[in-house]
Formats: sequence, C-alpha cells, structure tokens
Amino acid sequence: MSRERWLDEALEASERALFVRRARALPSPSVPDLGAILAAAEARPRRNPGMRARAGALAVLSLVAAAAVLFVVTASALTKHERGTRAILADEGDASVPLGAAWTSYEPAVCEPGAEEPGSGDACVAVPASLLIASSDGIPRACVEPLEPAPNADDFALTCRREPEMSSP
Amino acid sequence: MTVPPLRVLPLSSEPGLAEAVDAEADGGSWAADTPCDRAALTALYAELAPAVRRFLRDLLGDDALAADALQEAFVRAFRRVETVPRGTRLAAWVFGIARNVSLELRRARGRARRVLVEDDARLACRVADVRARSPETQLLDREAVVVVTRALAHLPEDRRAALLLRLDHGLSYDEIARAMGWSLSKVKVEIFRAREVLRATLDAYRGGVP
Repeated sequence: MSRERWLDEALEASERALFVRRARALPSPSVPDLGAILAAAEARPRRNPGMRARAGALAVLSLVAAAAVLFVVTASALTKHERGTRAILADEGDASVPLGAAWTSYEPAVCEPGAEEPGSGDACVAVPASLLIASSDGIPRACVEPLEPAPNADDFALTCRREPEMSSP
Repeated sequence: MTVPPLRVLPLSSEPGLAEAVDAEADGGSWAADTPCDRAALTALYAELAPAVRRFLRDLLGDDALAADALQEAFVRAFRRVETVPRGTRLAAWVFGIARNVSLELRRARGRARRVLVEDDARLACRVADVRARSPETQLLDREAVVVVTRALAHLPEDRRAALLLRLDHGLSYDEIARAMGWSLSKVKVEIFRAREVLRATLDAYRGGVP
C-alpha cells in the first residue's frame, strides 16, 4: 500500500468517526411499523408482467403504423412531383407518345437553309412560336417557311413549304 | 445561544468508537451476503430503516418529508425486492431507492434549492440526551453534529448524497455509483471534493471560525 493511500484511508477513517459520532448523537428517529409498510406494499396495485409486454407491443405497433403512414405520404408526394415534371421527349407524331400529352415545351431545333447538319449546334435555332402551326390532327408542327399566314390550316402540307429536319433530343 | 468551539479528540480516544467506525466502513451488519428476497429485507428493516431515514433527512432537510420518503422507499423496496440482481447488497440497493424517492419529492415540492439551514443552537438541542455517556463524549458527539451539518449545508445535493453514502453509511464506491447512476470516476471525484469541504469546515471549526 502506498503512503498516500495509507494516509487517505486514515483520514477517511477519522472523517467516518465524525459521522459515527453524529449518528450516535442524533436522536433515534422513529420509523414506520413494518406491518404498515408491508400492507402499503400489498395494497399498491402490482404491475402485471403481461401488461408491460402488451404495452411494448402496442408501442412497436404504433411506431410501425406511423412509419407506414409516413412512407405512404412521402411516396405519394414523390409520385405527384414526378408526374408534374415528367417530360416527354419524342419526335412529332411519335406513336409511343400517350394521348393527351402536351407539346407545349417542345421546340425542335432546326437549321436555317444552307446550314450544317441539323443538331450540330451552332447553326441551329429554336423554332419560334409564330412558326408553330396546329394541323388537322391536333399536333402542333413546326414550319420553317410557312406558305400561309393562317395558323390553322386543314392541310399542313399546304401551309408549310419546308418542315424542319428533326433531330432526336 | 451558540455552541462554543470544542476540541476534536482523536479516534482512538474513546473506547468502542474505533470498532464502530470499522463496522460502518464494512457496511455494518448489512455487509453479510444476504439473499435478496422479502424475508431478508424484513429482517434488515429494523436496522436499516433508521439509517435510511437519517440519510433522507440529510438530503431533504425536513423531518416530516423524510418520514414520508422513508415509507415510500421501503414500500417500493418490498414490491421490487424479488427483482434485485444476484450479488447486490440489499442495503445499498435500498439507499439507491431512497435517493430516487428524495429526488422525486424534492421535485414535487419545489425544494430544489433548499439547503440545510438549521443553526447550531437548534442542532445542539436535537442531540440525544444520553445520560449513560460521559459528559465529554456527549460534548464531542454534539460537536460532530454541528461540524458535519455545517459541512453538509455547503454541499450541493448530489455531492452531499455521495458523501453521506460513503462516510455515514459505508457504501463502497461501486455501490454508490450504482445508487447514484454515476460512473465510478465521477463518484471518486465528487466524494473527494465533498471531503475537501468537510475538512475545510473542520479546520475552520478548530480555528474557532464560526
């Protein structure tokens, strides 16, 4: 045993002696009758062990239900978001495009006469809205050189001298 | 009326005290490897209950509150005694329950900042009048009450509980850690600091500083 530890133990013993003296000096406190304590312990409703298990199971089920609701809400929000922003990339007249699909954002890149190959970049320009002509089948089509100013001609071929060469996006 | 400063006699000056201190250090008669069941707690009650009440009174600073807390602590102890893990010393376990009950009562009654404020004169009056003891012993005992109570009043509640469990009730550091819900190192630090306060109070008392 080290000297420090021996000294500490001696010191603690003297401090403990102080507490022993104090305990001896204080008037002996009265304590409740053991019978009363036991009766109170018996009278208090005991926790049913099965009840705790049931409470645990209920808590787990509640958590699972909350997680499921959260999952459904999140998935629903994501699906809605996807639907709202989904773009259809297709050429005009593409049969795979679902009915009712909007073409509003479709502005095919076309090239001015005499330019390089369509889709190469520099010489291509977007078709302005004024050149979009809705044909009889309801599908708007772009026309580089319209023959008539009327935008709703029955026969697209009669209204457009030259259609833009399409490039797949 | 104030109690005049008295000299503190060394431990060996009084026959029987050293043995009592040793017994306390070993956990008194609670140290026996008793099984943790209702019968064991029943057998322990008469000896343990006064110590637990003293502990609660030191923590709560109120006799009536300590009596309520004692009853609640033992009611809980008797209801749960069958769940005590093997190898646990029953007395240390009961002190842990008592400590929890004292915290609950303190919170319930809004006494979080309460400290022991009894003056020395009142304490001196509370000291047991045991005629069988010599006048000198009675004087020294009274002195111990004053010094210890002064020191306890300067300690925060947690540190006071740890010091009491160690020096007054003889729990080991491990048992205190379990009772307080602390790590072993925290227990050692808290008790070390509490003992510093106790020593400072004792030094001040020896020097006649009130």
